[in-house]
Amino acid sequence: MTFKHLVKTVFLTEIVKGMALTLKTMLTRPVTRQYPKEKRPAMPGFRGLHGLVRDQQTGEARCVGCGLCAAICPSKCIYIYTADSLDHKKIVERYEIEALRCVFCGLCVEACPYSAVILTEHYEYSDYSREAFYMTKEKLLANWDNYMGWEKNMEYFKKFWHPTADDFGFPKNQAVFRGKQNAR
Amino acid sequence: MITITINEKKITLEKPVTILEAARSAGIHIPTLCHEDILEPYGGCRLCLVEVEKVPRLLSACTQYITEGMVVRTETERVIEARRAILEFLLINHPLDCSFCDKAGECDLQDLAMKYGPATGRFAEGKRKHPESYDDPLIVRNMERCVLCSKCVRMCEDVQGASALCITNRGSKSYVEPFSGGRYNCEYCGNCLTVCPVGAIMSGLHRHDYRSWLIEREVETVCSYCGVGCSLLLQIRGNSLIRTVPKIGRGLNRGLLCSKGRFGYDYISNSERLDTPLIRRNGELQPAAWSEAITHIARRLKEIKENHGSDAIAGIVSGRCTNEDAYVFQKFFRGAIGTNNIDSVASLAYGPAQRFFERIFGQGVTANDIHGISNSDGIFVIGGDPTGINPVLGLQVRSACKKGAPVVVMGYAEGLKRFSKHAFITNSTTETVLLASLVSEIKKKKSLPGERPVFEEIISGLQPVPLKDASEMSGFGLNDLVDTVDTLSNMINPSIIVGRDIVQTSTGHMSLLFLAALAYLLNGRIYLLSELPNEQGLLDMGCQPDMLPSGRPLTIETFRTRCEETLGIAIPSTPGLNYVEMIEAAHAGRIKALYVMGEDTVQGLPDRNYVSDALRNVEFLVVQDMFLTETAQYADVVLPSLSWAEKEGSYTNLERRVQLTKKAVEGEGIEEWKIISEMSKILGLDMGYRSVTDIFTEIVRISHIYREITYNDITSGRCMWPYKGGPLRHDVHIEGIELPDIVSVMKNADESGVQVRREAHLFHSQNASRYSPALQSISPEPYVKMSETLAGRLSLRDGEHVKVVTEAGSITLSVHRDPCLPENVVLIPPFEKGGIFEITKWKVNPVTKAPALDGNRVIIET
Amino acid sequence: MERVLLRNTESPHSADIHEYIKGGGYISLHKAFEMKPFDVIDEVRRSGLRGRGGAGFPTGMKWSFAVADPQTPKYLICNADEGEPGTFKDRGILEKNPHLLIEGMVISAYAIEAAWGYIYLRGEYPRAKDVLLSAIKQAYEKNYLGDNILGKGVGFHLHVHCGAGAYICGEETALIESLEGKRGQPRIKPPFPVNEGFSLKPTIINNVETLANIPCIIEIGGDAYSKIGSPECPGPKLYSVSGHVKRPGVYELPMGVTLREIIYTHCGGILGDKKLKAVIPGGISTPVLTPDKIDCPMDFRNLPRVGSLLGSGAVIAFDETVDMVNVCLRITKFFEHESCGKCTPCREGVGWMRAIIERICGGAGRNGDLDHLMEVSSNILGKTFCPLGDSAATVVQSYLGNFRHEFEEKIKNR
Repeated sequence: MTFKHLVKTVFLTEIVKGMALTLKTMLTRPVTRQYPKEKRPAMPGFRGLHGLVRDQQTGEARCVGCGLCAAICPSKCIYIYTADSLDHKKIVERYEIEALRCVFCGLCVEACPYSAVILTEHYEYSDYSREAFYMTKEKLLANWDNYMGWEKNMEYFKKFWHPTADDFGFPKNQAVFRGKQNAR
Repeated sequence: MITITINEKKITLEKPVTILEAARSAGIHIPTLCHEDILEPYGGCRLCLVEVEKVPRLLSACTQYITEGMVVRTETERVIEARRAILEFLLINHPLDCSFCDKAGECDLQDLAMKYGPATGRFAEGKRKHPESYDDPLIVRNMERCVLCSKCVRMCEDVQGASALCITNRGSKSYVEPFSGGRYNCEYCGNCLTVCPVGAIMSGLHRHDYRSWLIEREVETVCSYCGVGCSLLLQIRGNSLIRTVPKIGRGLNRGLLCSKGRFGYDYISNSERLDTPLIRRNGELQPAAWSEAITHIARRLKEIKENHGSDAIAGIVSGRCTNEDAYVFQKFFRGAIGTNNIDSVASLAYGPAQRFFERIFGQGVTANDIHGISNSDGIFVIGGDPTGINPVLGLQVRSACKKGAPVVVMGYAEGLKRFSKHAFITNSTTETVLLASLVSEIKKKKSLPGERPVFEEIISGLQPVPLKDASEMSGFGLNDLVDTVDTLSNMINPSIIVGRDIVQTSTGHMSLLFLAALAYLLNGRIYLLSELPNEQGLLDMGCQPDMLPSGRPLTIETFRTRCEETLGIAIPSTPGLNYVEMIEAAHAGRIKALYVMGEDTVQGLPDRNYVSDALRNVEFLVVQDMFLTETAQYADVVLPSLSWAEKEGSYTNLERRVQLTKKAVEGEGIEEWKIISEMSKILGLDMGYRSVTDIFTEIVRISHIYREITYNDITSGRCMWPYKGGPLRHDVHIEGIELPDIVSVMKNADESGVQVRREAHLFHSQNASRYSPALQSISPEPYVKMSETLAGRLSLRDGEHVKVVTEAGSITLSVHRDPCLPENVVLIPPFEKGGIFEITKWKVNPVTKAPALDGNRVIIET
Repeated sequence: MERVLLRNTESPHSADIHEYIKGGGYISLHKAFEMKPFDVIDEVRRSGLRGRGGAGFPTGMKWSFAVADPQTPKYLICNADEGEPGTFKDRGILEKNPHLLIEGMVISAYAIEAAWGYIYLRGEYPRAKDVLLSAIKQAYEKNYLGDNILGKGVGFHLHVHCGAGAYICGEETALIESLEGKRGQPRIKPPFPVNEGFSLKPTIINNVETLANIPCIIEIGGDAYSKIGSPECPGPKLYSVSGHVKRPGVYELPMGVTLREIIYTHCGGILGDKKLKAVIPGGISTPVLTPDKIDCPMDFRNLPRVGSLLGSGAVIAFDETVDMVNVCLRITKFFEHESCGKCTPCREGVGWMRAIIERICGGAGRNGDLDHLMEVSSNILGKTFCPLGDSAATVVQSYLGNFRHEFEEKIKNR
């Protein structure tokens, strides 16, 4: 046993040091949060629960059923069933995401030419059944309403995804995207 | 030999071909939009521009032929720049609606734009506008997307011969439109959709239902509509059939389809399809379990067999059944029940005609390659419209005509009107007389070849009918007939195409003999039109009352015993009843139990009342069908059956090519062969099949004409008769052919009044087409076709409704006027309601035992 | 110079056969029938006659190609589909001197052994049609047409077919398609019409003016004919002059006169004695020339040297008041309207050029539009199926090249 060691032992310096840290920490703000009492805010671009964007004007889903999200999805968990409406427009009958199989890569969001599918900031979802995570079109639209909404969405998109849909600037008179506005 | 260099690669070719073909043969891809192998070069899209050394301009590879020492470069900077420029031009007027255009993913323009760019557009002016056209029930045209490659127009005109489409207007205002305006008035072959490189002409059936990358599986199979057996590609997502597409250049149809093959597939998803067996209890058909239904049938059949003997039971097979199903069915009847009362729909026309020709010329005389038609130098069509019954075969006739072969048509052929040199629309007796006089005239012009002395004796023994007499009787001009004789006798290798109308008359057996004589004199190849996919297969499988599998008569003991030994069953030695005789016997009460597999007997035979009475008389009727047909409504037990896309098997087409049908989707039901073998087990004959392959192996073992064929042989698509080795039955049985007394036929012919004949309708064949909403939507209303003079005399306009009355009944139909028809004939197609069979009497040809549709005089009441 | 093509046309009855014969007509026909067909072709070859339709292909050579083809029958077609704005030279022959054309056609048919001939007449020439029909009727009566012409056992029948107003049908293969009853679109060449033309049989297609030169060649002989006009492309030529000149009209002058001579000597100068700003030398499909180049001789050899073409010889003069951007727009509109729609660059590209020029004219031009226009036109150039698209592109390029400042001004002063 060395002298230095002896002094440390006799004067309990380790304890004093430890207590000093304790006292110091007592006076600073805590790093941890009191979850679930205290929620952690999501950063822009957070990939939470899936949602389908509800169009401001029509109140319907913005999705046209182009199927690019389903095509790019690496875990193939997006199912889209479309049909022809009576007025010959393309309608999305079913848009379903198996959330439990999703890897939250966000490729679907990037692929979407209409910014119609998004990952919301909501991350608190748990349930006792698997069915609850089988997201139907209705559920996905509700997710948008509950967890995103337009204002939040703008920030979310512009900052993080740089959506391709924004680059689609078309001059007037062009025969493009006509079906969208009128789709039921 | 021509040697050229493409992209520093030396290529040697035998013939001068285009640069494009040369490049493709060397595996170098040159992009095109307006080129299609089966069409003539066009050179419109300019995407195939390539650089050729010593030529200042870029040349279009699809039109430029190679010359010795040519040095071609297909992917230089300059070429790519040009392609980008062309694509930019194409895209300025092309809407960027890929996200809901069904073509996305399989669109040539999209692929090229991805490959060559440009990624952004510089076109700031307004795009061309053209509203999408939904006027047609099946075909949607979006002319904003059109790139004016004109492939559809050229396909329609040059290959299909329908000339229904044209490019309207000029320059950048051009668009493709049917001549008839928004709605097509054409054959609905849909070959224009096959070739459209973009989404301009699309099928409305699966519109917006899919994206091309969501298609999970593709199954290559054979069409279930007619006896040609075109190759089809079924595209499936999940368990639903999304669409059928052809593959250009594949199969015997080489990528062409007809309306039925392309649009008629939707009957398999018809909501009216049966999904459980039905048993009649207390006079009503009620759902039952499969096991219950099968034991019920077996028990009842056993009872009837014990009480009334085996020959009180009879079975009828439909032409939609596969070879395997048909084989098991006849084995069940011969082995387990012990009767030869087994027949098929093939005996209504196809069978008798084939049997007649084989009797004279030997087995396999009608097994001719369909493509041979287009190479023949003359075509004689009789008894049916090949473009309506077997449309893809009909295209060969048109193609031959385009090459300059004269076409002579006897009988009504809507689709050959513009292609025939001589056309005679006859009623049934004049048909026979005309044939007789043609034979006696041609006999004078052509010497008998001396190959078949016995038959030549018959030919020389035929009563001569001068053209003058025939002309007087039929009302056709003498000069016309003389010209026809000349045309026919100038043919060197003609094709003779025979439809069912010639057989289904009371003088049909005579017509067949004259036709055989004509075929012999002209050295023609005979093609029999077949309305159902497997008529030939049914004959081969022994679904005939007097023939064993492979077409061997069961009355010949050696054949029968050999068959009995191989299969270990006893086969009764007396021939049974054929289809028509069965119905007659049932009407007389001699048939106690009838098992109908897949056929709607009431709809398929003349005189509905007679047939319904016959079916009502049957003590125990089993019907196996996809739908609750009229026949099924009389049944005691109805078993649902699987559609062609839901089971495996093989079909033998009219040229005797064996082809596989494959399972594409899961259906609700059990395969026919399984049901039959279950029943057979209960009746004491355990067939022990585990799969269709087992059955096919047995067929190969027992049937000499299918000797040594394996499924692998069939898959190659080249399994055509004679399969391995030569034909088997060389011996011909000309003895016993009666020389027809044509003079007395002429004397006794009663030509007064207006006769009704059957029109083979393109969209209404007598099978699944009536359950296909798509096909029904094209021409939904039953009609009667009559001559301009007759309609004029009755002052009827197109579309007016009239009552057509015969001795057998009356129906109300709308009027179609047709200037080509003679005054004494009206045509009615076999619609389900308001079809010809409602107003025809029960009449049977005594020799061929085929139903006869002639002699039904009609009165038209306005 | 003595007039050849428009001889005796001052008479009000010049279209009448008697008048024509009085003036020495149909003499050449008699003379030609004394010769062997091959000698007729040889005479034409020696004359150095070049096609007057615009391409300037040696006529004798074209004929000998058709004769060398063993297929029969052969057809002779006269291209009278004079549809180019500014061109009305053939009209003079058709309306005033139809028998010259008929005589030329009979001689040509005799030379190439064709028994059937067609005159594909522009649909908008109803008067010419009437004149031609009655002239043909007269020729039949006088046995200059028929199964046995002049009792020499030569048969030739002539029909007039009216076009339906498509400029592209002046292109020989499109003309044949139209004559066959199909959509007027050019065919793939080769095979050329001399081998596979009408009904896929050897066919000679010549311009009205070309055929009208034939009687003269036979009359005076090929060698004498080749001395008229410039030595490389001899013969008389019809120039139709329009625009801002004092005396517009059709002028028959020897090949190789200068533009200056045509405008200032024959047409009496510019209207109101203003300054000349630009000249189109050969119809609107030829590039425009600035006044410094008007000393160039008008023939197939010399005009390309100054960056233009002889075309149909339709001279259009513009004085200093003309807005060249507007001229360019009008011409592009014409080409867009007349594009047949077969090939992509012409169908889409010309419309695009029109749209850009229209925007510039409408005062909505942007900086960079001119470079863009240049790029679009060079994207069309050399990639089209037939020369129509190419001419549209070169024409626009010539306006941009010669009058770029006017375009720039329009964009600046919007």
